[in-house]
Amino acid sequence: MADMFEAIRIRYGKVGPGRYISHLDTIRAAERAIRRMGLPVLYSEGFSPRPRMTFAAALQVGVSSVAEHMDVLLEKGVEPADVLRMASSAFPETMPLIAAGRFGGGYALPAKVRRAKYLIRPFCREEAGWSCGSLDDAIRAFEAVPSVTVPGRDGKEKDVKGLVYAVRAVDGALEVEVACGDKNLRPQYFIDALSAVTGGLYSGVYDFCRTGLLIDLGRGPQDPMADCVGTAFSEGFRS
Amino acid sequence: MVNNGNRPTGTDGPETIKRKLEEKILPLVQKPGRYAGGELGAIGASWDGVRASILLAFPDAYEVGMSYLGFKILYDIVNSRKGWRAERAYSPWPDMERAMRNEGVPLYGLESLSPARRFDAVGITLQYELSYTNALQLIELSGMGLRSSERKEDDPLVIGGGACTVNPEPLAEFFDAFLIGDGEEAIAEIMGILEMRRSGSLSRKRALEALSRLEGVYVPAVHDPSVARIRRRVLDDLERFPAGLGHEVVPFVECVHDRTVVEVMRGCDRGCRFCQAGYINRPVRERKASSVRAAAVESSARCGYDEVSLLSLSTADYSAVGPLVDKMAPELAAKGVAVSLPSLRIDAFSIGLARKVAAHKRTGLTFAPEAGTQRMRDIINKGVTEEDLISAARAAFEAGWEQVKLYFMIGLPFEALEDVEGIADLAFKVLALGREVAAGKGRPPSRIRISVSVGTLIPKPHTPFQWLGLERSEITEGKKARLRGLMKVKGITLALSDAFTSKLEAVLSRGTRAMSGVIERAYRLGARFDGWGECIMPGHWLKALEEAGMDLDTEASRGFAGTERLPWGHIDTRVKADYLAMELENARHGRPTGDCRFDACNLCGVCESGIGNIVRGPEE
Repeated sequence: MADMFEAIRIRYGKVGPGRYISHLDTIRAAERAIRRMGLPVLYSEGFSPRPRMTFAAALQVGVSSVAEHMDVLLEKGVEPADVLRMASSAFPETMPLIAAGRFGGGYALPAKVRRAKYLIRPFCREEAGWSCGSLDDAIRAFEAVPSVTVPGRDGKEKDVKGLVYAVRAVDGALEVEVACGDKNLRPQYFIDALSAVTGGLYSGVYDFCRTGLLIDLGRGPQDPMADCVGTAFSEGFRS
Repeated sequence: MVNNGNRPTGTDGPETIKRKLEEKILPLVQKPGRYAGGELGAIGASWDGVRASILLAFPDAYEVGMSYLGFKILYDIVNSRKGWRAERAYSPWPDMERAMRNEGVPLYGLESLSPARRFDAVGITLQYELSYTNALQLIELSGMGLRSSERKEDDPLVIGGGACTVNPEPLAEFFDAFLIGDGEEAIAEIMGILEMRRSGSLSRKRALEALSRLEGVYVPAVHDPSVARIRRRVLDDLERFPAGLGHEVVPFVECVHDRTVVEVMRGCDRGCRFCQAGYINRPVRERKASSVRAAAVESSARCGYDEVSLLSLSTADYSAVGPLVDKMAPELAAKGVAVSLPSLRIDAFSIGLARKVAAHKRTGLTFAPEAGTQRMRDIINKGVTEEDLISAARAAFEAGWEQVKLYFMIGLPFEALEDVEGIADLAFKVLALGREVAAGKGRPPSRIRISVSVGTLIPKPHTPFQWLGLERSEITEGKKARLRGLMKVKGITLALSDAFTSKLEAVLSRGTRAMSGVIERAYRLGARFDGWGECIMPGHWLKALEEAGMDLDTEASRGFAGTERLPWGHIDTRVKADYLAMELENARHGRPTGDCRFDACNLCGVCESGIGNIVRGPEE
């Protein structure tokens, strides 16, 4: 069904105050941005027609991102470079459009999401008991334990170990790759787990940024934009 | 419970505020998007070259305040002028207020995160009485003394505006000045005075004196309310200002009304005797249909909303509404944008309009017959008959609507129990009609739903009912019980207003300056967001009233003699007091008064040289 239409895949960010926009508000804001752009978007039927858009994975309120993705169904094809030009004033600075590419369709994006990468920094180093030298020790402690669970928001114990695929310290920050999609790990739970294995050292308020999203189309984890053609990147986000 | 102890001093700068928000506050409060700024269309953070500035502060939650057109207009006018700066602030929800007090973060402008005290003025709009404690919250969180007399030389001027300023006395101790009436022209004059103050050529005292000389401005420290006469400011022609707004902020957080709003007309001459808005916004001033249409198309494209609302007190009365909607609705529909009309008259014409605009297909239709019997509708001058309602409802059901909402009031002057029972009769008739129409079309009659909403009349200043008190609550409660008993019927849902809230609103709306102590005390006890069912704390108000030696019921139902000088006697809305008194007599005798757009002039006193109704008629 989807491949009857032209579709465009968009990568956008949530930066600065943009991190405080909830998932539902993000969807509405993206719809307005698409309408402002004047993209020839397909609308759903019914009393309140909505642009046909699919969002890859919800982002927790308070987490910034440079790796949000959505697919937009169009009435007719638009060149990715034209999408970038149309988006330049239509997307707010706090929700910048980063890249656009033509997408062949054939699957629902959220069903394919498997992993997300986050960059984690403490807002306040002293309060978090954070020192660069100890980061590697903390990671080793985390890797050494066979399992670690933390209390989830629903009150149930949540296993963290099985949902963390990679951890490393980079320039005094932590880079983690964790489950996202059906199985999902909030980055805060990783910090809670790190805190648990180090005796409470890492509690505190953190700055989380989603830096990557990985989908699986049967060829192993890959960047969603890698399944597009003609991908164009915004100035300043060319990576 | 709000901690009143910590009072931000208002000295933190934008960098400190930003750091505290990011690290300590926003990760921990509900809906942090309300406090973060960064919306599309907001002006930038730079204060370079600013000669005068105002913080437009709304005494309610962000979601409510962001939907208020008046501030959108002022924001656009001020920020369109080089050297002038307006930013926005809203009442923090109790969790945020607590966090701000704990961290010593003052009220700040969302655009630059600058503390309120950096601005030359804090402008607070007073749209409804139940936001008064929030107005005090905004003043105190700014780091200033609550009372005008306690403020320091370099504190911003606190200026009130909005509908409630037609009786400013309950808040007169807290505000340095009030603007009564339209703000478009006055804001420029006020900014001019602020500019002189910022440059150092006017002291606080001299600035207040200068403000007091502007038409429509009341300065309690200068004017003596027992002799002063403050004439409401009126913008003679809306077309002096553009219908489309160049600086329009599009929120991320879902708001009460997420849509483009274009004002088609200001004022209403229908003369419903309970309606304050109808008396304090005269005369009727229509915009040109061509400017409404251009603004709607341009603004919806720039903001990206999926709905454009044509705003006024009674949009079906806008003389060009039919052709305008015929032209606009298809043009916007092609872009995925629906048109909506916030208020419908009860007649077939309105139903015809509603059928053309897609937005109303999503929701039910609302009709406001206001009263249950013809006798009562004549008393309040609601020029609607039962036949009008039945034919409008028939048209609606035939067009396929299955839900109709009916709005009524009780506690009206000269009301008898049979008038109240008439509400139930009307609702039953509309329900039966809906079922009949549905059955005739082969649709299940059980799908017809009538929701009946019954409010209590709160007599407002500057209306013919201003001399009357709120009906005693034991009488009103009896009427509500009768309605509840009558309306336990499948297909009808009944919503009744809350007795305490009605009394509080009545006390505040017709209050004297003596109420200021009560408002401050209730605020100190923790009263906030009194218009929100989940927030209002009747105990705080009852305690504050008791300490002042007042009784809620007595104050609410207090009447004024016709010969007495009213507490709001110094505010001249341009409608003559004699006219209001005559309208009260007309109400007593059930005599209707016509609409001066269609019938003879009623001599209400509003029109004068250069000011009068502007009815443009359909164009082209």
